[in-house]
Amino acid sequence: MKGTLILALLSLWNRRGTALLTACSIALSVALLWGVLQVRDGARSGFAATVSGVDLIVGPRTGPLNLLLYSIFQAGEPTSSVSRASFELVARHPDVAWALPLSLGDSHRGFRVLGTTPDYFLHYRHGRRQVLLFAEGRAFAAHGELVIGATVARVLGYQPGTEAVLAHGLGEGSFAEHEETFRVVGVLAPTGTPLDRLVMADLDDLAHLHGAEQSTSLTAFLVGMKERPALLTMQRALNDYRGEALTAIIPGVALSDLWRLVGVADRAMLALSFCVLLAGLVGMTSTLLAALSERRRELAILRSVGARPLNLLGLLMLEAGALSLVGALMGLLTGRLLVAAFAAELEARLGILLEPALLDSTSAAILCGVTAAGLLAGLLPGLAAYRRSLADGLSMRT
Amino acid sequence: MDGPAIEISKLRFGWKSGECLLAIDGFAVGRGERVFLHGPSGSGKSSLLGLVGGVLMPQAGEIRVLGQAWGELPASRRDRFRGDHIGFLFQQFNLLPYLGLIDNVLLPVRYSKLRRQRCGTAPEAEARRLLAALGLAGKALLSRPVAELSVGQQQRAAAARALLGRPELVVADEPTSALDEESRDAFLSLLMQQCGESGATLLFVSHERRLAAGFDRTVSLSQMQAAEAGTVQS
Amino acid sequence: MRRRGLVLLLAGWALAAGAAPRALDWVDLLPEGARATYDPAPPAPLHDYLTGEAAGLAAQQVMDFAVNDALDGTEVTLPGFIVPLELDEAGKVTEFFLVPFFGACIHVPPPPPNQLVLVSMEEGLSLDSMYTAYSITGRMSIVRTATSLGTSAYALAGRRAEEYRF
Repeated sequence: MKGTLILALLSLWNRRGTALLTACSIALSVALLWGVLQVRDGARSGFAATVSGVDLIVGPRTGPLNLLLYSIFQAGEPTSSVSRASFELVARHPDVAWALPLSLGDSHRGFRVLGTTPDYFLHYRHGRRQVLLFAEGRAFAAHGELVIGATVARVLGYQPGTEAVLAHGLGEGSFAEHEETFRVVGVLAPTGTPLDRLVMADLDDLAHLHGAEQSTSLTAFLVGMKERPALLTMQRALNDYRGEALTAIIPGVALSDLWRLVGVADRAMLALSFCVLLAGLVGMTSTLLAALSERRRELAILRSVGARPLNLLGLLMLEAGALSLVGALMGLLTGRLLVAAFAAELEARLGILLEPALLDSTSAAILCGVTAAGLLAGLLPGLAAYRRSLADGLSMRT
Repeated sequence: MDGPAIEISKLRFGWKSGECLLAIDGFAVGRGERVFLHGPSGSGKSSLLGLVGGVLMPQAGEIRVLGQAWGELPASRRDRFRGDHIGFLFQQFNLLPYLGLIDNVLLPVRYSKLRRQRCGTAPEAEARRLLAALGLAGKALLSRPVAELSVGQQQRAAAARALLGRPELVVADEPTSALDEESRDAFLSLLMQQCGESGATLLFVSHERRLAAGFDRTVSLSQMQAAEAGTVQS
Repeated sequence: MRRRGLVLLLAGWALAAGAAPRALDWVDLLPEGARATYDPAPPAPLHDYLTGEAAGLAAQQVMDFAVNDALDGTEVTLPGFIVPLELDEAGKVTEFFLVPFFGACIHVPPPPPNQLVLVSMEEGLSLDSMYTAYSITGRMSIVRTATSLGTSAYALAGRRAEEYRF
């Protein structure tokens, strides 16, 4: 077997031009497959883990997915608001453990600013009831203080003590800058969720910025009940509330819905990547098959010195396997290089964090899978070689 | 394994059903004999070599090599038998382009334990010895890529390979046809000499009668063919 | 000899019967007395939940909080619809309400508290769709809660979930 492997490698080296092209086509398809898996995993782990332990999200009358998206994922924009009074009503209710007001609408150099209360850092959870941890500093407590997410700190190079000016609206900057500068007092540890891209300030500070003493309207608010079973009743009550048109959603329900939608898309992407890989392998098989007619001589020589047809089958299968292995390695390497080059960009733009390990189970699985598939693909030219060498006999009149 | 080097009885062979290309009722080659087989191209010489080599199977009749009938062996054992006891020489392109000269010569030793054993402790040394005996020596020559060798040099290397490990039978299919006049005679005498030294039986096929001198026996394919061929069922 | 064999057989049967989770119907969650008058229709909406006085509400709703104490600590299997509350990183549902009818969180009033089970599952349930009913198996327990509405609720530590076909 070792001897056949050496023959296979030498034979490939002899045709290294074509061999390299074949390996490249496999490499590209492997890089694509791996990339899609990385993006999928990156998007997913951040996604479902974004919010935890929140019983209800309450906003103005709007669609549930829309409310989830703008209040938790900072995607899309709120078009109306909830009154502070409704928030106070709920916050005071005996069955409610805590309520966090949220105000969105400002930005700082492309990152959204969230107005809330210091309680946010006590009650907000992500992942599996994981509290928000500070990498540096603390929550805001006095006027003009900011807390920023890990990505904001990294991209803008901020740390506790840095001063920042907030712009009105959601654009990258604004022509109507506010006069007050804020100061960073805390940087959150990375969460792998859209929280990393937030700038958090006190709700009333922001209102003050807009000329009001106190904020009277909110984008939305988060509610935690003392006992979970009560949340259904509260949700119903809020949706039916005649004092204001409200929408109360259960985050788990809305996330499940969104997850399903996303799942359809990413299953499609995955299926597509597998098809591309299949195309690469089929290409390799056809190249090997085509080369067989040139190699009739070589195969006959081998048979004449005592090689069994099974040796020839093995030779071709090993060639295919070796090509696939090399292609897969090249693909995984290319994928990593591309991710390393673009990870920061991807994170800044899409909020997806990609941190591929040097060697992980997915890569190992791809490597083994592609090599095995290549070996199998080699069966076709291998069997052809097997049969031809029998049929040709030793007639060398080519 | 006793018996003549090659023994054919009542052989019938055809490529397509109905058409009988070879019909040989009796033919034998003794151990150590050097036989020149003559016949025009397309007459079935190569097929006969394929049958002798156990690569092709006849529709009827029997071929025995060194006392062993090919038909009695299963396919995998045939390959082994062929590797152990027969060395082949073709007209041209005998060498694998991706192996070095010595590695090409050593090919039989990869697949045949018997020939490996017969080489003694160092098959590579034996390969070099054979190459030197056939006029191929020197570091520069031996390390040159196979494709850069002249046809004559390639053929001599192929001869070394056919002889490595002292196979009992050497089958040569027009090995000189690609060589020029001067080289032909030189090659032939070298080949004969080496076969004599190792005691191998030589079955040499060619369309050039001129080369027949020096062989123990000359046969023509048409002579071997039976009068009544009949037909074959595939 | 034969008698011993019979005893062993019966013991094995009993053990197996005890070990197998009890298949429940939603009506089993009600205390015995309430089953005769059980009305599967959704309850009347609670007015003034947000603004009303807590004490008065508890008095109104006491019947709906009555639970079947016999179920506490038993292994049960109960089919129902899922209202997801918590998802893990892989998108599997680790905490959810199990309810007797679809839509309890959307456009239909929620079930009474004794027709609602809060389920937690370590492993998480891969939810195909919220229209699918699932049969959840696990240990049922009765939790004394303290809300303005009443004092007890069902909780289930789920260990197995299967799709339920009608």
